[in-house]
Amino acid sequence: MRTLGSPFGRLVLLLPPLAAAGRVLVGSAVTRAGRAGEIARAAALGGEAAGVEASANAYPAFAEGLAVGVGIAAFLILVHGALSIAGEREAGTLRSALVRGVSRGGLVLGKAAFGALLVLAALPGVALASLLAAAIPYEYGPVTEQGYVIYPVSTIHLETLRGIGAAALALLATHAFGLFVSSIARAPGGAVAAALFLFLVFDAAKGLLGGASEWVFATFVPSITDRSYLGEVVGIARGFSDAGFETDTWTRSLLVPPVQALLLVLAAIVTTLRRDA
Amino acid sequence: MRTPLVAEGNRVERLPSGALSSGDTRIRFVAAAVEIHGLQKRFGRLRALDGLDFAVEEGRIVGLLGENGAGKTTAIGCFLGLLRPSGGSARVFGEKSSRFRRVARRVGVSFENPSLHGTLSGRANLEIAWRLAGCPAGRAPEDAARLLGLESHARRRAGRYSRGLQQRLSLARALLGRPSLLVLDEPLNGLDPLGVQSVLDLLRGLRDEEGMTILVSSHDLLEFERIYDEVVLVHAGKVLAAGRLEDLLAGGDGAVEIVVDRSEEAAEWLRRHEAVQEVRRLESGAIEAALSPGAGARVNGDLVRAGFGVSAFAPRRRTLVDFYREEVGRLA
Repeated sequence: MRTLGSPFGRLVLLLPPLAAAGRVLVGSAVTRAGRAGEIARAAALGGEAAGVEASANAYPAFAEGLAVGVGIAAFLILVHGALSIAGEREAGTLRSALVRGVSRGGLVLGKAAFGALLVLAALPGVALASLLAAAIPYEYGPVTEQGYVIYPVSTIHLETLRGIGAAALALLATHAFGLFVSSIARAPGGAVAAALFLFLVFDAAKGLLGGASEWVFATFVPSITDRSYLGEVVGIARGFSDAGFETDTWTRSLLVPPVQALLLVLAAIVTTLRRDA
Repeated sequence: MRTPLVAEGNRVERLPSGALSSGDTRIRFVAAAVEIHGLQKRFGRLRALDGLDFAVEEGRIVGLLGENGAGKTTAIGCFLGLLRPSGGSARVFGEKSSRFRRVARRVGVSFENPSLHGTLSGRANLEIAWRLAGCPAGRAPEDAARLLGLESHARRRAGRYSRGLQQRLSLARALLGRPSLLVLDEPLNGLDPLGVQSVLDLLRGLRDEEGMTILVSSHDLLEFERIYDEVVLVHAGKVLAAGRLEDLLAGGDGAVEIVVDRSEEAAEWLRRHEAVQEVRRLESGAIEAALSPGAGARVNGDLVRAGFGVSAFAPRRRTLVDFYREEVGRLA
């Protein structure tokens, strides 16, 4: 049985924040090392280092750390969903619950609810870890260019919250997808493999689908080929004027994941009702 | 179509004993805790159950016997609503297996694999099971733990329990609340001899004092023979034999067990005797012989006069192990 205090629960709560903080600090170290190298090279050639000074603003690093941490959380939450029903079936705890009068539909809803709890528990930790890590090498402040404020702090905060909210909805659907795969799989290992495979294949192929990919919840999950809103927040924090979603895309990012999450949970219930325990 | 037991128009009244009476007709309705009719279950091409028929009367301890793969666990899974039958029907306390949830509170189950939550304590395992069942009235977690001698282990993690303790915890979990039917799959796994005795005594007590119905699927024939009221022998998804234990174990008329020297030679000699119908050598070296009625003394005397040293010549009582071997062996 997985609880937030179980080994897997702790993994979901701890690994994403660590990944987020790691991304920030390693990124900062690499940037500084690169800049130091440029300066040393220029000095050796008797000139000054050209190029723009790396930004000292913490928000870009914070946003990048947040996207990485949430991306890691997405994989772990997908795995958790994939293990949930198939794992209990293999362990025998599923039938133990059923003979005590727990309904199959109630069982699936309970798993989905725990997935939601996992998402809500994981995201604040990631945000906090990234926030604190970015404050070490950098300073927080508005996004400026040549002395002009492009994005005030309030805008960055708002966009970050929108990104986290959209990511939360996408992660709920991610867990529901894992849950559905778990309901039809024969074994937990197969469920995890299938869920990860389908997720990664879609991640790789979504660029080929163009606008059609916005009708699949996975598009809005921070990933390797990131097209989530958190990815746009990184662009906003860097001052890019074309960062952000178009209105239609933003609307789809808010509607598609919860609707698909609901459909996937219903499908998992139907499958569980029909299958042998 | 059912034939009415009482003619239409006759008045039926309940007697203090619980029986029903209509004039001179006394009727005792025997309620069945579990009813299986023509049960079929297929897993792909495999026919696990092939028209299984049996019933478990309330207030009895019934043994479900059969070799590995006979269909015992599948049958249990079907009437508990865990497996969807491919045909036939299974009912528990009158409810179809698809509606098992309606009677789940009246049924306690202990599976062969206890499936405990290893990271939680024994007490927590019991608490979870009790809450999942809706905190039923009756035996609370601490009562069930005490019944199975688990008080001193209750705070330890179940994952660190020995096999025997896990089995006791599984039994305790099955006894939470007030079950009327107990379904046990290999309940003696991992138990030491004292543990075995205490569980058997417990089951006997539950039947006698609480009127509990107990269905046991176990290969521990020697142990459970002491407490079974009835047995159902399953083979290849069908019932091979079923009935009251004493009836099934009664030897055939005239069956005797003979302990004699030179038993192989003696067996050959008996096969040629006119009053001996069937001869079988037992694993112990003794001989089981089916005799013509009243021919016991004559055969005994003839054996002695033939020069064989007869140590014992007595009516044979079969054990459950003998019954099982004979019935299954007959098929081979």
